[in-house]
Amino acid sequence: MPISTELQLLLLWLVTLPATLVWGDRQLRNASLTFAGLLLACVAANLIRGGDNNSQIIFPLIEAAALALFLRLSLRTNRRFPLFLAAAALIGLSASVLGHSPVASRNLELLTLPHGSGLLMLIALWIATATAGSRPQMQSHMPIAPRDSLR
Amino acid sequence: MLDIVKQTALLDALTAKQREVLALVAEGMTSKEIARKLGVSESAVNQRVEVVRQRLGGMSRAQIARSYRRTSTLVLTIPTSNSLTGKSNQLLPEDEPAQQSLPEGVEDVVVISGGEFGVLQPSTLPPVFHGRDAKLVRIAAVVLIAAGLLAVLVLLLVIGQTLDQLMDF
Repeated sequence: MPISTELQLLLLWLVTLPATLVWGDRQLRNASLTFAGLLLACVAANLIRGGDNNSQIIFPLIEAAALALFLRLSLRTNRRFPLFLAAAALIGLSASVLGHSPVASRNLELLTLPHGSGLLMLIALWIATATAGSRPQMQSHMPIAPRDSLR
Repeated sequence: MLDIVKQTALLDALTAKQREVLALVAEGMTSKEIARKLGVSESAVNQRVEVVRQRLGGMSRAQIARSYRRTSTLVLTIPTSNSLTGKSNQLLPEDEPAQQSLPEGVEDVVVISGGEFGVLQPSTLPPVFHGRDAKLVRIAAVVLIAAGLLAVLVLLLVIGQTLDQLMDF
């Protein structure tokens, strides 16, 4: 029985999970878990689609959720990797929406979350994990005003 | 406001090590993560957090983190000179490195960035992402990155197809 591409991506994600847990910070771990959750949603959507051909709206919905979550992360944090995750989600959503139009090429399916954009997100998470150890150290806990000036 | 000033005074009275732990708590890190970062045991971290909690009137961990974040941003409202000591409170501009020689009376300097995005987190983004139109800039960046990634993907696809055609000959 052939393994679907989203399951392949989930397996790749599982391989990188220990690295994320060791070197990643809270944001990175949350993003990684969100990514895995979205892939699982894709697997579930595939199962549902198998029984009902009218449920193809589920994929664009998952892509839209991915874009919303990663865009929110991009706006609320000062890290670079959420920008790449959101960009990959945007590609996935565009491909997913355009893939349903009769004029679009069937190759667009290769850019959706279970395929190309999922791989892009995984690569972004890998790079973010690899660079997490070399992040600049926080200095803001040190006083920025002269001591006793606030008393 | 009085509460914030009182809390600031209480926070200022903490030792450097306690403040160090508190800052990391405020960043949302767990005791285990802090222990690993500082190279101390988890129980030592918990002990310091407990002392800080007691000093701040038995507040919860989340409350002291919130309080620290709030008082850290309070410095934005500090006047440029201290009326009691006459010493000036100076902050360096964003593009000036913090490692340069500090004026007398100023112990350390941090770069002030867009408050909404969390001033306590070390930013890995260029300064343009922290300006007044930060949201717009970030969304534009996402769109540009998406376009760039798409262009690279299309290029790779074209190269792949060309190589495939060449192999057929």
